[in-house]
Amino acid sequence: MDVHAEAFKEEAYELLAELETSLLELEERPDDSEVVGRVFRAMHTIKGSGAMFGFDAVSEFTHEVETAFDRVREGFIQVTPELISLTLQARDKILDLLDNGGDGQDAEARQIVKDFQRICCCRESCQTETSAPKTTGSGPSPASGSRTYRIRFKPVPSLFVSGSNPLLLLAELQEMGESTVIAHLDTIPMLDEYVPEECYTFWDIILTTDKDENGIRDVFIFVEDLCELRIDVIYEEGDFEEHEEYKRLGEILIERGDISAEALNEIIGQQQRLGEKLVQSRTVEQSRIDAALLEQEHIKKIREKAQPKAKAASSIRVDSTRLDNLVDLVGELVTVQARLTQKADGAQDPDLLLIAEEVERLTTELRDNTMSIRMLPIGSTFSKFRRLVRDLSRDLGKEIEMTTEGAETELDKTVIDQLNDPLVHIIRNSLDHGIESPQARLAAGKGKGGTVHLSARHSGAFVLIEIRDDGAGLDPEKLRAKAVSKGLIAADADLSKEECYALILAAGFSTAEKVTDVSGRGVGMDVVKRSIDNLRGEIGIHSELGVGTTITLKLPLTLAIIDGLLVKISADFFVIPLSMVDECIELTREEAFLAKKRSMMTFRNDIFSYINLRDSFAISGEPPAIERVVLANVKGERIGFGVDQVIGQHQTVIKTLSNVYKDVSGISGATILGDGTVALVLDVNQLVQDNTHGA
Amino acid sequence: MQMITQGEKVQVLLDGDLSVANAAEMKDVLLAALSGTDLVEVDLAKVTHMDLAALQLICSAHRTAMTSGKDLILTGTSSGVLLQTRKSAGFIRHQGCIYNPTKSCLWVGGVK
Repeated sequence: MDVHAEAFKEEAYELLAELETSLLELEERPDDSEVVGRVFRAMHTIKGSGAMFGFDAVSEFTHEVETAFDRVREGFIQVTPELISLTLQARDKILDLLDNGGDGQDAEARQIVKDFQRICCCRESCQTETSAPKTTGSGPSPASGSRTYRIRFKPVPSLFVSGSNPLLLLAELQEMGESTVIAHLDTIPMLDEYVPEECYTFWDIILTTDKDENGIRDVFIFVEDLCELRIDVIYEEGDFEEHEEYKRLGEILIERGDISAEALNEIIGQQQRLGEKLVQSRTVEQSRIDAALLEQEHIKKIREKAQPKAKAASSIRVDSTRLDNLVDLVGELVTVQARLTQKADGAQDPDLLLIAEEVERLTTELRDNTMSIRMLPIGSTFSKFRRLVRDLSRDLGKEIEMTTEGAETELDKTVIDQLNDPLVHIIRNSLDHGIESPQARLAAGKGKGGTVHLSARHSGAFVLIEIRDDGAGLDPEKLRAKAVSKGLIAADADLSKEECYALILAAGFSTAEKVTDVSGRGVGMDVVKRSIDNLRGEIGIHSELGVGTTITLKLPLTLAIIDGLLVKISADFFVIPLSMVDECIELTREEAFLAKKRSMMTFRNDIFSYINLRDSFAISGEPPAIERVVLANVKGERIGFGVDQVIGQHQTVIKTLSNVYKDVSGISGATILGDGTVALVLDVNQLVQDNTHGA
Repeated sequence: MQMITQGEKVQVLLDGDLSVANAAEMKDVLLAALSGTDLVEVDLAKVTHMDLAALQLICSAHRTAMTSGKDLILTGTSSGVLLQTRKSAGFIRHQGCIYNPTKSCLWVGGVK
């Protein structure tokens, strides 16, 4: 497929996503003409560019939908739940046509088109019968309220004699909205011909206001007989999409009657700026050109105000593989930089050291910048779930609303991509098992409708994503009993509440009494756990019986490069993610011996679990006289890791291990150090789990 | 209103409320000032209010000076009265008028 078609598809996917969001919004606020406009524009663009790039089926099909929304926009038909559902269906069909091709003539597509046509016709005839078209009453649409007028106010010379002060009139106009006032002074005579009591000036006023023409005329009501007044609408909100550039200078002058078209044509043709030409030729006075230029400026300002968002979000589209390449290159650069720094440290050359430090600073900045390019707001993922919740709650006969928070929170693209499926599983579970049916809710004294709340926020080097429902909550006893019956735990196992909740993440565990097609095949949550583990994230479950369940996903901001703490055991290097490290302490050989024996250590009168990494990885050799312990924070618990030596902070470019090593527990990847040796990146969570299970 | 001759230049001191009511008097002063010398300095420091008639008159005087090869400059404009009146009256131009060969128009720039 050629690049243009590919680009169109990309764009279409985005538009379809936006369309979905807009439609769901429209369902909540059927009267919002701005949202109707958005739906229409999305359709319009898909249709237009579809035809341009040879997606004729897409274009033709979309045309039908667009027509319907055009009628909505004009106020002939109203937004109904039926229309929304149909449009959502159509949206899915468009997606299908994009993905799988097809001519858009199959039964489903034809049915959709037919339904649209039915809605359009039926509503229109209803409308004429009741003869109450919305359009005449409240104006075309509230969004296009403000207009820009060109007002030429030319008072008679004797204006002052009547006691009128034109400046007050102008001030009154200026209060009505954004205005540009231009005085024409060319008629002011020389001093010896000057009559002090005469008004020689006249004005062009460009005014953007929500008042109508009569409102403007009211300002001049007392000088009506003393002036020439001409008011034209030159610009209406919403105009600008049709013609990109505002009128040219010549057009404005002709419109105003300052010059005839013939005279203008005569002058154009010489290679000069039109304004200068006109003045030179004495066809038009300078002030009139000034006025026309100011009009252009005024409109430009109004337009910029009208669409500040479009300006701010100027962006380019880049293939994500190019970004991945960039990240790889930066990764290699970081590694080389580490080597340089190491070399410089050893060389005792202050100049070289200076360069090395500079390179280090630049590399860090480059790294952060590159990473930030890959950051995407999670909002797009959230909005996908709106549809999921809507459709699912209908299927399940429940009334469920989804609320979101922190949609602007940014996460690495890879993380977001891999997050979609786990989130779908969790939300499905919440909807299916968590939130009760309306009857059950009423019986439990809750509101009829349930809520699923999605939120995302930053917390250090992590992002916390929370899925909270106000459903029935998890019953620890029930979970326990189930696990025992499935043979997952021993009958006499002593489990805390949290450990019971964590059982739902175990493979082969399903709590639903009845298996539905929504969830509950027992493959859901353990898959979720695996995906989150792959992302080096954690899952936390909190629940209160009868109140609801909250599932928290703690995910690293990025996967490719992290800050790590480099440690050494015998001749081997390891990296502990710095975001988990609290502090480093020392133990004497005796203390270390005791700690090893008890898997426990004391520090500042606190007791921590202790894991000796030398033992964990079965590294031979004699431990040093003084052992270092890295205190790490694992799931809210502090755990000490015994190592030989702490080298220091290290920018770690994580390389995934090949498939051969994928079953090795406690290691999440590897990195290359400055001198070319390999250091293993520790999977701290897994290490702790392995050790506690072994104990 | 006062006229002070200082060597080559004539200073016109304007004060108080400049409006259509005293425009005739102002015209006479300006005419007199321009007839005597090549450089007229109009001081607006003590002006408390201006109207359109006053603005027009200053414009006319400037034109008259320009066409006869003389110079007319404004001083004491920092009080803001002139600026305010110019803004509300729309006395704002990109370029000087046709009488103004050196493009030293009083209404170019100064307003943001």
